[in-house]
Amino acid sequence: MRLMKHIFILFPIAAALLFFASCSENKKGYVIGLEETLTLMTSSIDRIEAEKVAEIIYKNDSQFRFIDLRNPTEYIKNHVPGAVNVPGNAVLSDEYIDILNQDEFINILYCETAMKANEAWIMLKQKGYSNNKVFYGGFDFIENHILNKYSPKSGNYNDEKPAFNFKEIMNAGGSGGAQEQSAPAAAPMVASKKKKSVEGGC
Amino acid sequence: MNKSYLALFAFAVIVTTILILMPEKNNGKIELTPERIKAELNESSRFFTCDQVADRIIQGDPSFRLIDVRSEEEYNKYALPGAINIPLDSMLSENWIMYLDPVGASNIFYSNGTVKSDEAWILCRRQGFKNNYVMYGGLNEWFTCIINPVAPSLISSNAEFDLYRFRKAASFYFMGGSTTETSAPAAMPAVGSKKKKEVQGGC
Repeated sequence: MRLMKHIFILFPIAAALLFFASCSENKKGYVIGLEETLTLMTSSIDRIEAEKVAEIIYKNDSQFRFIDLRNPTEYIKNHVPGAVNVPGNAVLSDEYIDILNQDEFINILYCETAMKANEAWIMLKQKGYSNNKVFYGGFDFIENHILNKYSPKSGNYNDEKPAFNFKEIMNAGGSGGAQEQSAPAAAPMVASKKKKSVEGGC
Repeated sequence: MNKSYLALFAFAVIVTTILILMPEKNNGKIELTPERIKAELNESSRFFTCDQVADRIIQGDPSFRLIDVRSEEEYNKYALPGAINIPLDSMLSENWIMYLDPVGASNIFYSNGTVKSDEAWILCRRQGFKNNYVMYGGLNEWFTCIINPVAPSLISSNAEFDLYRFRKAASFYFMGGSTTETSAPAAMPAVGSKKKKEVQGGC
């Protein structure tokens, strides 16, 4: 009789173990199955459009963070302001898991080509990393069509936006730290300096 | 009654143990780990350039098959000669398994660009399929390089001129149809052997 009671308890436990073992996917490292992966591939749910990328950059939207997947040598030359460099080859390494699987920011991945960015994105998705979106335009696109459009290089459309760092230029162009001491004695000189700067302003 | 429950319980324990110990199971098929696939993606050994694909079509190489992974509609509008259509959307269907894991032959996936054919490669590789490759640049690159090749500048190397001549001939072959088949491939063999080394350079 005691044995029978034990079996009644043990059998459901065994059945539960059976169920658990048959749906355990953790060994493989994939969090989603093949069908779900394919659905993700064919949907555009995590793709960010260029207009949105431009908006995020211009507004300095702190909800988003750019992830530059290119080599460090390329990243150093230029990158989206505030972008974090994660070389594409190492996206699955433990070194970057805190950057690529978190819920503080929404990451936007970009690389030189759409293919490389997409590759990184779909592998991260399959491992269940969250909050990663992908932009298909390469960095060249971002640089030419977004970054360079509203920099001082391309022109200043806003009258009241300072086009120069006035203080820095004046300090560099004048006599540096000695300027303040010599200013009162050289009042006539300051006046002539002013004339020059007015001319320069136009 | 004791015995039957005991037998059932023993069976459950045995099957559970087997399932826990069995490696990488997914409906009986083996899957490669994400890390392994990423390492292969990093190697970039899965790519064929448009020149290489053009050469194989012209040579009539029977060991490979072109697979167009775009939609049926796009495939019907235009597809590379001899390509079969397996849209990415339906790539997990049972119908295609024997095509996607061929024995003794290779598949070259292509699409308009590279993203879609690359995704097809990833999907297949995860299932452990071998012998699948990707045509880098897709039809966009094909039309830029093979159909409308750009003549190199006068200061270019002989290798670049050879490549251009190959592309011009290939363009003729693909645009002209059967009447030009006799004239175009005559130039192929000599360029073909050189080309395999050089073709790493893009368009």
